[in-house]
Amino acid sequence: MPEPSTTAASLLKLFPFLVEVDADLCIVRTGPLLQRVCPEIAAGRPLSEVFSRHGAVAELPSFGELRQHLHHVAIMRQRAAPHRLFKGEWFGAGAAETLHFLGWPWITELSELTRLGISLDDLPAHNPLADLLMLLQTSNNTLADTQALANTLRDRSRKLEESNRKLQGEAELIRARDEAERASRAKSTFLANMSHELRTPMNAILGMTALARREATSPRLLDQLGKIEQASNHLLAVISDILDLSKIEADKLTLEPLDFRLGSIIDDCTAVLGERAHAKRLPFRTEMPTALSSLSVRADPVRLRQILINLASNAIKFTDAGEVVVRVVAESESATGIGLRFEVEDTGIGISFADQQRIFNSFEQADASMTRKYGGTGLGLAICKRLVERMGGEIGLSSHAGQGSCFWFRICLARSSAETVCPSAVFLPSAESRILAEHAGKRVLLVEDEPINQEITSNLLEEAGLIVDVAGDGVEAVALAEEKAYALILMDMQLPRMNGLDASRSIRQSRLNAQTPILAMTANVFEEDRQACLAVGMNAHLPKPATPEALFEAVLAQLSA
Amino acid sequence: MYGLVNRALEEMICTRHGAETWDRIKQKAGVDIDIFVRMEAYPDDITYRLVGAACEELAVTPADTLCDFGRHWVRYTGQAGYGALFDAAGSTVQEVLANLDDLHSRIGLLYPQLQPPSFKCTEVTDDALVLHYYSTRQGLAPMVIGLLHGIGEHFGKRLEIAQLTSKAQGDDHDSFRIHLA
Repeated sequence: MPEPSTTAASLLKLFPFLVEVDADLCIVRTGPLLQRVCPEIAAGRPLSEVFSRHGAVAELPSFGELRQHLHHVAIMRQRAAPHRLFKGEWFGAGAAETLHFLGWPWITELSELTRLGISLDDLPAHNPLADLLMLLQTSNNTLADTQALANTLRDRSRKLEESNRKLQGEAELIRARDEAERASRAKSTFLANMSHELRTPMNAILGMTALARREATSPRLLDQLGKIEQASNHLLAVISDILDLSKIEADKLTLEPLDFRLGSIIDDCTAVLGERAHAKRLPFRTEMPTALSSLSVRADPVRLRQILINLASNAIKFTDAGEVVVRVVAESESATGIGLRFEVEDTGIGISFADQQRIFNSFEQADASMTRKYGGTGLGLAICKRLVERMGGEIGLSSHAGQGSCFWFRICLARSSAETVCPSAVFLPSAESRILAEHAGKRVLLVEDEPINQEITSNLLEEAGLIVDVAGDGVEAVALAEEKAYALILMDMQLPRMNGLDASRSIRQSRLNAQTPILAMTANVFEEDRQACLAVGMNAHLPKPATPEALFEAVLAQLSA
Repeated sequence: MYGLVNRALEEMICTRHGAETWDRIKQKAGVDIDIFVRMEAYPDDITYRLVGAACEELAVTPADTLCDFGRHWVRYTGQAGYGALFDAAGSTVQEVLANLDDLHSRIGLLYPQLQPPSFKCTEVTDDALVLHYYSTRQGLAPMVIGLLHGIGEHFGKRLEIAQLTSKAQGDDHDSFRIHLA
């Protein structure tokens, strides 16, 4: 290779990828970096052998054409490595019969430079190739960071949306819950008020009637008063049924589990209904294995008794001949519980298939003529069904018109190991006489604002030999309790000036009556009311209206305690 | 400092101690930035607070943290796409250290707000040299020591480094005698 001229030598330094060609487009010399990186592009070889033109036309231009297009963009592709492009321009140094391609490899990544074995020192200081590649790299980094930020923002937005939806859902749940609680409180208040408003006058009617019957001597008057009592009791039954059903449907009915002997329920049924069946000359039978009869269980005996008495009472009502049988069998047993099937079977009028489909609905009797002929509220079976379902059981019947019916229900009861047995619903006789015998002369305080109820209750208590002081409201009651020591205080709950709960709380702080038994007498019969009475130190709760027998029983229990 | 520095710190902590530790460090430092953009310039204070919180969280001294970081920085920048720049800066420890100012000049084109330190090499032999470190910032000499170890590891050399002068002790700059083992 001839020695390069000074110009050519400078060009070699400044453009280390230089290619010099002669008029035959044969390579005269190449730059030092091109020699290192592409040694096959060597002097003596035709340009067209090692390069092709990049673009639509692959053929390289002629020497003459190149001379005419000096300083235009020229891009050549290396034949031995077709992915490698060289971008530059053709340069003619004066009148020399050679042309110089002043170009650089087209590199888009810094790492490619390294792969080619080119270090920064190899490049002339003026050349920005490496710096631009670094700038490109940095831009790519920034793009990646921006993308990452956008992704993070998107994630955050999504999480925020989810959080908002959840919060909205929770807010709605809270609103719905608050609304449900308000509705529930409204129902409770309504039921409590209705219970009080309905039962209080009934208390007055029954009480006055009972008093009048005690003093009546004329048979005609006795008969009339008996009819009033009968009608009042029926009305009370209707009121109780309606309130019960309302309570159940408002989800306010609470079962009160107690330990009792299973057989006591059947005994109570017999005691309550035996007379009625006897009056119709109708045999009333019970069938219960001895093992079951003596079994101790834990359940709500009041509600269980209510269901059985309802079903058996219907059976007696709708049967004129034949018999009524109450049956209890065990269906399954475990260590902790027992599955029982109760049946009430009769030989009465039966129920048609069509009527069977709706017999458990409220206010449905088999047909309208039933109400006229047999009476009844139409609510009993509906209440039975709901009570059985509250106990987790099921109820049904089988019947044929004219051939009798068998009403059944199945429930599981928990076994009880307790030895205590709850008192039966059948009241012991002569509580009044026992008060007269054992507690005559004792002073009791009656706190009641209704004049009629005051008269009824105080008369009854005085006839039992007790001395009765009457207070018309809570303030008067507290004042009296500060003056005298009483053997018993009977306290109504809804009183003017100071209610029964507050009065009881105050009396519990008094010097003379801190330990005096306080018996709550009230038409409010809900569990929460009962609990409220016990919480302020009252000793027992007697629902109004109470029969004289129930009153005497409760008074005797407190005086004897 | 550019986001690149804080990202390198984040990567070091996350790799060794987990993302939750990094979150705690950020919380402790009062830094509420999800992603550091590498090309963005952040106040120096953020980096100092992060380093301080990291020392507290990991129960290590600032000098140890900075030294570890310096070592990590060499590897991190190589992986972040600047390895070629480093490779182009020289093929021996001495060459790279001699070209550090040029390297920073080039980097300054890409990072306009860069306030780079300056380095000078004296008493250069085949296996030793003295490196002089000049910076407007305080307290980063331990990081330089870490960087030097990182550069040595890149070339497969173990460096023995002794600090000769210290700005922290009142000298006008920091200098280190380096012996290549």
